[in-house]
Amino acid sequence: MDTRIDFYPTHQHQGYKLRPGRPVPFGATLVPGGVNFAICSRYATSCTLVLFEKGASTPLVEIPIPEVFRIGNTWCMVVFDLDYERIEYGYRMEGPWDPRVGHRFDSSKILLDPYAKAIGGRDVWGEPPDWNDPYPHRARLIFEDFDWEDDRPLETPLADLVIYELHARSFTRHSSAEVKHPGTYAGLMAKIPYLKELGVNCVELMPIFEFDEFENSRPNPVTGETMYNYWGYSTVGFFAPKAGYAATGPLGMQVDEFKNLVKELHRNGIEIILDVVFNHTAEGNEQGPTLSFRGIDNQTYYMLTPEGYYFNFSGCGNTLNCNNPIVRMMVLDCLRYWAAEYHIDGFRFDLAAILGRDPWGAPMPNPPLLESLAFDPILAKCKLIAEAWDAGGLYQVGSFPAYGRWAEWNGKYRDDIRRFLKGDEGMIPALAQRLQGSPDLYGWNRRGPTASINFITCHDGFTLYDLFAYNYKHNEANGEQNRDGGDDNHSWNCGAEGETDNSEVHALRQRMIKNALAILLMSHGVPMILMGDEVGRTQRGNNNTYCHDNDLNWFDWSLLERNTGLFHFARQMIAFRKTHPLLRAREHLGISAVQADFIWHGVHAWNADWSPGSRTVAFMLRERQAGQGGNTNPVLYMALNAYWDALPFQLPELPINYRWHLFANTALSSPHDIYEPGHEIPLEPYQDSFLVGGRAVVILVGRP
Amino acid sequence: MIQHSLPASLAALSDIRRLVTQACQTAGLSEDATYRLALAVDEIATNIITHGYEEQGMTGDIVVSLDQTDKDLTVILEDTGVAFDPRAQSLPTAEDLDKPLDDREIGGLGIFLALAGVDRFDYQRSDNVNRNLFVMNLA
Amino acid sequence: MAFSANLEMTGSEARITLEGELDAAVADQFRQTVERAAQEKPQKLVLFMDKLQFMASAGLRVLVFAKQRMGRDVAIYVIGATGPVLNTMQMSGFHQAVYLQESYP
Repeated sequence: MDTRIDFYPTHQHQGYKLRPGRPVPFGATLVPGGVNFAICSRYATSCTLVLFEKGASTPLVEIPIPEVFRIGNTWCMVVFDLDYERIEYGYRMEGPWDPRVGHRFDSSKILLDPYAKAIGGRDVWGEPPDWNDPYPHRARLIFEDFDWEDDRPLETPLADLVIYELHARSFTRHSSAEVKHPGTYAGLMAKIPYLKELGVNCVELMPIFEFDEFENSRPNPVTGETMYNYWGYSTVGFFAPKAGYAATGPLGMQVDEFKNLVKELHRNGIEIILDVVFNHTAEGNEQGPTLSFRGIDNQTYYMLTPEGYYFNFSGCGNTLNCNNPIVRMMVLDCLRYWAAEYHIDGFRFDLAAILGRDPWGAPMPNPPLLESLAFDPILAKCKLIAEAWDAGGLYQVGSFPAYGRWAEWNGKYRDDIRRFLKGDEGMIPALAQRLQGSPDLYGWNRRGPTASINFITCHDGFTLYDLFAYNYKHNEANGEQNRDGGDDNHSWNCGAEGETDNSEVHALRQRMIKNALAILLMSHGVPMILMGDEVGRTQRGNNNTYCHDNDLNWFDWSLLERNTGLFHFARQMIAFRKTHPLLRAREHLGISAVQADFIWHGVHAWNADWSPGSRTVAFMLRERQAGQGGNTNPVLYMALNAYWDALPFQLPELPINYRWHLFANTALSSPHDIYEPGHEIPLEPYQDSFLVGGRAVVILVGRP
Repeated sequence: MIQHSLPASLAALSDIRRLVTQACQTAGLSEDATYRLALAVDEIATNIITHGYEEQGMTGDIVVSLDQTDKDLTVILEDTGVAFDPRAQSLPTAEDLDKPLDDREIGGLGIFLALAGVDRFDYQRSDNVNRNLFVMNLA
Repeated sequence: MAFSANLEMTGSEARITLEGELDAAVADQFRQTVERAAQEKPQKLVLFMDKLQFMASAGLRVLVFAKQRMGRDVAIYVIGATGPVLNTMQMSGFHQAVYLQESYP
C-alpha cells in the first residue's frame, strides 16, 4: 500500500517508531498508521511523552520528544502502531522552578494534555479512585467517526428560546425517574419527551467538561455523608465530556453517548447550551494539585501577582489568564471544537467578567478574547451568554463588552422581580423596565431585549418553591455552619418557615410560584427556568447545594404527580409565549422602528401608578395596526397585583370588534387558573373591569 | 370606654362583630348604620389577623375599645402586627400620619367596603402599635 | 348565628342556601361548597341568601372568583339578598354579573 512520504517513521525509541509531527492541531490526532501529538509551552526546556496501558499504574514507555521535532514552542511527534483503544498518554515537562517569576515546572509529575478529548480516571461517578495513582486524570484517544446524519446546530433565534437550566446527573439520578441509566446523558435522553411536553426548546447544561467530583471532597461533619464537588464548576479538561455522566463511561464511550444526546435533542427541536468555566481550573492555588496547566506553563495559563502568587478573581484559588494569546487560542479552539464536533448551539460563560481582565487582573475596555469570540467565523451562529460578574467585585450587567453578540444573565431582573413579588415598596418603575427587556441596561447601544437572559432562579440560590417557603437560607447540611451561600435572597416564606400543614400558606406559595412563572414568560428578553421549578422542586431551604449528591439536588419525579397543577400552568405559559410573537420582540419597543407598543396601565386604565406606595401595574402589548385593515392580530394585557388584597382593574378599550378573553388568573386554583392558548374564554358580562385577586396576576387576550 | 382583648385569629371575628353590634344597639344606631360599622370593623380586623399577623408568621392580640358620647360612637382596634395603614398601599412614614384621607388611594376590596360605610376613619401608628379608629355619628 | 352553606343539585341547577354570617373565618367553607357545585357542571348556580345576615368582602370574593371560574355559560342567581348584603354587592359592581331576584323561580 502506498503511504505518503510524511507518514513513514524516521526515528525510533525503545521499539516505538516515530517521526516529526505537525504542530497543529494541538492535542492527539489520528493520522495514517499512528497518532500525532502536539503540545506547546513557552518556558519548558524539554518534553517527554508518557504512554500507559489503560488503567496501569506504571508507564508503558516514556519517549523524550527529540529537539529536532520541536517547532518554536511546540513539541510535535507522530508515534506509530499504537493501540488507540488501550493507550493513555501524558507529558513530563522540564523547566525552571522559580515560583516568584511564575515557573512551577516539576518533571516528577505526569501532566494531562489540555487538549485531551477524553479523560480517564473518573469513569464511574463517585467511585473512589486509587489515591496513589501517579497520573490521576489520563488523556485518551478517540475516534471522531460519529454519524451525525443530517444533524446541525438548530440556529433557533435567541428571541424564541425558552431555556431550561439543568444538571446532567441531578435530572435523572433519583429512583423516581425510572430510567435505565440514572444520572447520565442516556438518562437525560430518555426524558426528552418530558422536556417536549413542558415546551422548553433549549437546555443549558451545568458543566459537562471533565471535572473531579472528589476535589475538596470531605465527610459531612454532621451526617458523615461524603460531600463532593457536585456541580462541577472546576474544569480538569476543556475538550472532554465528563465520563462519569455517561452510562458508557466505563467503556470509554462518553464521546459518542454525548453526541447522541445532542443529536436526539436536536431531532426534538431542542437546542443545547453548555455552561463553560474558563475563569479557573481544578488546580487551585499553589497548594492545589499539579494536574496539567501548572506543570505545562504556569506563567502562561494563570494570572499571577508580581510575587508569583495566584490571583483569585474566581473565588476558587486561581484565575485562568484568558487574555494571554496562548490561552485565548485554547479557549477559541475549545469552543470551536464543541461547536463543530458536538454541534453545540451556544455557551454560557461562568463568571465571564474574568474574561475581560488582562493578565494582571485589570478590566479591559476591549478584551481580545471577547472580541475574538464575537467575531469568530465558526462560532458565528452560537449563542454567547455571559454571567457578567466575577468574585473579584467586577459587576458588568449592562456593560459587559458585547460586540453586538453577547447576551447576559440579567441579575437585576432576578432581584427586581423577586422584590416586586414579595411586596417591596417602590418596585413599579424597575418592574416596568424588566418587563420590557431592560432598555435601561440594554437599550443604550441597541443591543435589544435579547441581550437580557431573564431569570428568577438558577442553580445558585433558592429554587422557585423555596423562594416562597423560606425567609432565610438553611445551608447547615453544607458543613459550614450556614455561613456559605448568599443572604440577599429577596425571598418570603408566605407565613411559615419551611414545611407546614397550613393550607392557606400552601395555596399562597403555589400562587406566588405561578406569578413568578407568568411574569418570566410574559417579559421581553429571553426566559430561563431552573430545572424542577415547574413542579415545585425544593432544596429544603439550602441555597448553595454545590456539594450534595443526594435528594437535595436530585429531581424528584413524584413531584410531577403531586404538583400536576403547577406543571400544567408552566406548560400553558410556555405555550402562550411561543404562540405570541409580541412577547418575543427582537428590539426594544419605543426606541426602535418596530410598529408595536408597550402601553402602561394600573388599576385605572391609561394611568399607571409609579409612586413608591404602588404595588400594582398593568400593561397592554399591541401592534399599532391591530384591528385596522385586515389585521386581526391579538392584543395582550397583563395585570400584576402585589398588594395583598383583591383590586379591580379598569380595562383599556380594544379595537372595534375585539373582545377581552381570559387566559390566566393566578387567584384561582388549578386547573381553572389557566387555559390553553387559543381557547381563552371571553370576559363576561362586562369588558371594562376585572377583579384581580391579592398577590395575583391576570393575563387577557384581546381578539375579534 | 369598654375594652376587650382577643387573640388575633379568624375565630375572633364573630366575637368582635357581636361587641360592636351590642354597642350600636345601646347607642340607638339604625340597623343600616349598625351593619356598616360592623362590616368596617370586620374588614379591618380581618386584615389585621391575616396580613398583620398570620402572613408574617406572627401571633398576637387585638384590643377592641368602644366609647360612646352623646355625639358619636367610636370603635378602636389596636394590634402589634406589621405596620399597615389601610388607607394606602404603602407602609406609612412619619410624614404620612398627618395627610388627610382624601389624598390617598384607597386599596383593596375589603378596605373599600370598610371605609365607604363609616362616618370617619383614622389610622395611627406609634410604639409599634397599629391603631384603627372608626366613628359613627349619632343622629 | 353560625354559618352554613347547603348544596342541593336539582337537575342541571346547583342550589346553595346560605345562613348566618359569612366572614373570613368561614369563607373557605363557602368556597368548598361552590367548588363541589362547580364539579357537577351545572348550567345555573342559584344562591339563596334570605337567611344570610352578614357578608364580608371575603364572601364576596368567593362569589366573584366563582363567577370568573365558571365563565359565561353558567348563570348565577342571587335570591332574597337583604338590604345591607345587596348593598355590598352593589358597591363592588358584582350585582351586574348575576341575576338578582327576590324569590325563585
